[in-house]
Amino acid sequence: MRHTITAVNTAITAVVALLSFGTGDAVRAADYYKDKTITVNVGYKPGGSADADARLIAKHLGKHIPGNPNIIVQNRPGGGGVRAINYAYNRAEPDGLSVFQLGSAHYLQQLAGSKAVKFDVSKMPILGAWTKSSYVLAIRSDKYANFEAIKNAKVLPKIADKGTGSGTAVMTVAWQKGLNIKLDVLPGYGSSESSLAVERGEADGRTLGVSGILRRSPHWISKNFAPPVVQAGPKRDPRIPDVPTVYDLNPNPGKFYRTVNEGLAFSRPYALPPKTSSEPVGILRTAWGKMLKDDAFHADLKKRKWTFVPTPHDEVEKFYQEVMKDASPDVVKDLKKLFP
Amino acid sequence: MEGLVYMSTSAVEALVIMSDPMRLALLFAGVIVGLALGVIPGLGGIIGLALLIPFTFDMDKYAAFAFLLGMSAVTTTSDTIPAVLFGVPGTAGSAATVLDGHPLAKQGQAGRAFGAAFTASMVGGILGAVLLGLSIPVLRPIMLVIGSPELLAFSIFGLSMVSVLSGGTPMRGLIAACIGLLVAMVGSDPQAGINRMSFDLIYLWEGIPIVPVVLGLFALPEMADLAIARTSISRVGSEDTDTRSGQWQGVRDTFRHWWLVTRVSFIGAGLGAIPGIGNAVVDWVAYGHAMRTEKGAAETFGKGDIRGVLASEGSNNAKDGGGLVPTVAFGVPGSTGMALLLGVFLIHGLTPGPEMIVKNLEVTYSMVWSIALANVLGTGICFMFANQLARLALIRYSIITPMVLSVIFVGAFQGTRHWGDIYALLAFGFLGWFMKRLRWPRPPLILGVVLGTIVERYTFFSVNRYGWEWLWKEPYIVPIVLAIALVGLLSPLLREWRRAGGALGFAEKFDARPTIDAQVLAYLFCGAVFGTWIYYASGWGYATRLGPMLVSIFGMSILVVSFANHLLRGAETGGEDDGTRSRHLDLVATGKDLSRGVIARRASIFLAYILGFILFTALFGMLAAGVAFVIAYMRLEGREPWKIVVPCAVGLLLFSVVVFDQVLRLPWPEAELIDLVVESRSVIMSLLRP
Repeated sequence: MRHTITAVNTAITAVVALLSFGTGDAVRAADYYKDKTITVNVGYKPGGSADADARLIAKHLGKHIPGNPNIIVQNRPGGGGVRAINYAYNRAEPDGLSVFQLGSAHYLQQLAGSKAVKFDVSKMPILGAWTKSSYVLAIRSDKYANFEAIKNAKVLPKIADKGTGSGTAVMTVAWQKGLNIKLDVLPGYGSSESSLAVERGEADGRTLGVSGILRRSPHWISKNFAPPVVQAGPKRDPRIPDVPTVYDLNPNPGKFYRTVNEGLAFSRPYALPPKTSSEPVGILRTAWGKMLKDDAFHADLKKRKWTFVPTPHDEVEKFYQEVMKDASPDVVKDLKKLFP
Repeated sequence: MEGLVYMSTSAVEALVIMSDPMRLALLFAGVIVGLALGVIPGLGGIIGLALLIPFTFDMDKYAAFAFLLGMSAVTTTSDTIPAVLFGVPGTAGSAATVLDGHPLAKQGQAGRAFGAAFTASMVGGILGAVLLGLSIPVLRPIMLVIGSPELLAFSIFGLSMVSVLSGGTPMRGLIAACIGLLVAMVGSDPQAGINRMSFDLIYLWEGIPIVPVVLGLFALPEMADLAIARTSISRVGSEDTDTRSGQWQGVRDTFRHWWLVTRVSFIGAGLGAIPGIGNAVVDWVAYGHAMRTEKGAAETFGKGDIRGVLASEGSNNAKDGGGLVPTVAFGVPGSTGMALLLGVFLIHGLTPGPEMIVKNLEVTYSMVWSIALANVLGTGICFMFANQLARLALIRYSIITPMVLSVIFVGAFQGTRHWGDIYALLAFGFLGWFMKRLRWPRPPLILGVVLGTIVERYTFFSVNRYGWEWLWKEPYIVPIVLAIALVGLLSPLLREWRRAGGALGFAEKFDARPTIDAQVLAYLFCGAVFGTWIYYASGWGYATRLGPMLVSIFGMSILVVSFANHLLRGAETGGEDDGTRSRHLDLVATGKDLSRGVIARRASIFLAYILGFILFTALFGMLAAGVAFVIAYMRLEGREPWKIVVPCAVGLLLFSVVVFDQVLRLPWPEAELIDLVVESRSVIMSLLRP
């Protein structure tokens, strides 16, 4: 039925166009998106940070696209975000009217050869990623005073986590492999639920983003309640300069850590269906670039206390293409356990 | 003392802030949107929030919360309207309202049901807000004491309501609850992330969504029976239908039973504060509570007792106040709606947690005021329209059925916006209709579906973290709550056992000639469900298997006893249920005066229409299917004249295009016939390799 409505819309547009005065070639090129609606698809339910991210993009991207298209957000939850990307890869029209938000860990799930994955992120045109998530491991100081205490612990630290398939779950494994430590993971908690579990003593710590701990649980650091003991890196986040990176603690953290860490850091790149023609891809990438420089966009980031660390589209694309080619079989084996 | 002064000055300050005309106008606008969404089955506060949040970006924080809370607080006020009129719950929160509200409408007392429901909604909403307001200073310390074991105990308490909600058929209730629990366990397990019974269908990964389940279990059977009975909903003529006087009677009912309304409001607010227990459970727990504590309730509930309506409606509006507790105090959203609201906190630079209770206390209180004011406004507006709405019950089935069904399909599709929602609606519609016909109680099933996930998760957290100590951990909330739950679970069972005359009674009625009837098929179906789960589960890892195995084996054992009881107690006494003696706690199927042949024929016609609708949707999309369905059904089935058919079809078309497509921007199901073929192949393949 969508098609019928689109047809009606097109008919109206045509009539309006006929009634209006003739337009030049240059304007026609810019009119690719005139009176169109772009859908930003997000693979998670309303609520939560992925959804909020998509809504922010939907709010700001449109005004930088010639023709000022309407932009709406559509939630296509299912399979930990995989359903939406499967749709993008196999069903969505490559007309530049559907934009998809990739999950940070989707490329790992693809590497793991998960049965659910019916896409190849290295073949999708990327618009870019506007932020990076740098993870920390935060542990209650009354239980484990410092990194040495964790390393030599008789009773393993209990880490509340979302469980399989999420970025924090991958990272929780990566800490253990990269630092030769052991953690007792309690899976199944939601994100903020994990923090609450730490606060009430049900868990001793959790893996979370630097922004998350600073924004949502600042007292973990300021009151030394559950300070970060290690951060992902490669460089120290300027907001927590005293916390060592994995590389500070172990200069050679191994292949798994390296494969996982760099890619997970691109927080939710936005992508288009494969085979999208170059015209809309070009228009959208230009708009994306303008949006990243827009004061209004930055004002909204500031209001939400979100950090701006963009990665350009070619860098993300290059990483995905290389990692799909070069991943070592050992790493894939370990990933298989994380994405059953 | 100082804290108390600060609290009250903040509360007054918040009231002054809220009295700004612009903020009040936005609150009012939110209320109108919320009422409209509540009336449409399947739509509710979550869609409303997703829709309205973008508009709040540029509002100040008080206005934003007034607008959004105004909307979400009243969806559970207006959801009563379709529940009472059509037996179709407007949101999952009014499913329990159907049980007594719909019979009242059939008796020509829709006005009274509305009066009571709207008033109870208002009182519940205000009490929930007050409770939130008063508990603010102690929120954080309390929340820190309540860990996973305590939450587990509360959830088990909710589950213990199963037995009282089973009426005179406690064993069938338990079986239904077990099936519900298993439905909840479909999808990736909370521990290892292994997919259970998903057969490679991505739709099933994150479990079956609640909206199509509730609409399938309650709404489709009601529509089917209306089509079978071929009457209007109200069985009495317009001259016997109550109007203003009935509404006034409903208002008085609410205040006569003020103590019940107060209790259920507290239950609603308390359960609302537990993450994961949403809309779909509070009404049933409150209903079960009323059933257990109100005098004579066991005999009259489910047949149009106004107290049933009060219990359900008082509790579901109170839950919003409770739901804000974990959100405000810790940033842990209690429900999807609250998760969305949490996003708004962040957009406006507010950090949930201590800050909301100290530095931004006036913001928190502005939320309390918003909820309270919205409830008053929402109820007022509902009363204004109640008179006209009540008359809908007099309209013929041939107009009501196709119009309401079309909307139900669109609503169900909002579960996850996947074709699977439509199949789930159909599957649970079947299940619901047979349960209703065969007098198997449906409420326990819903309770199982909603609480299954939570119980399993909290059990893992508790046992993983504390071992067996979770049962006996300071401050001993767990053992106390579990003891209450156990008494609640067992006492109805014991009562039924005694009523049946104990072991001696059973022995007396023993009959060696087994009773063979439609019930046998129902038992075999349940046995097949449990058996299938046991078969598949035996191949899974420990954490994945534990929950489903326990539930299936327990369900199977109850089933064996209940089945034996049914088979061997003779046709005259009819086992647990002979249709006359037992107190059946659910709507009774209408059309008793029709012969079996007529019922079967009309039911098949109805099914054919539904399947046709789905096929048409797959080929041409849902909007076209809706219009075609309305025209075909009204012309061929109802023999309505074109002068009625055309306005109805055009009305539905305009309504769908304007409201669903242009305003709400709901996605429509796409024609996915090809997918269906592909997916069914993968299901067959996965069945072959468990």
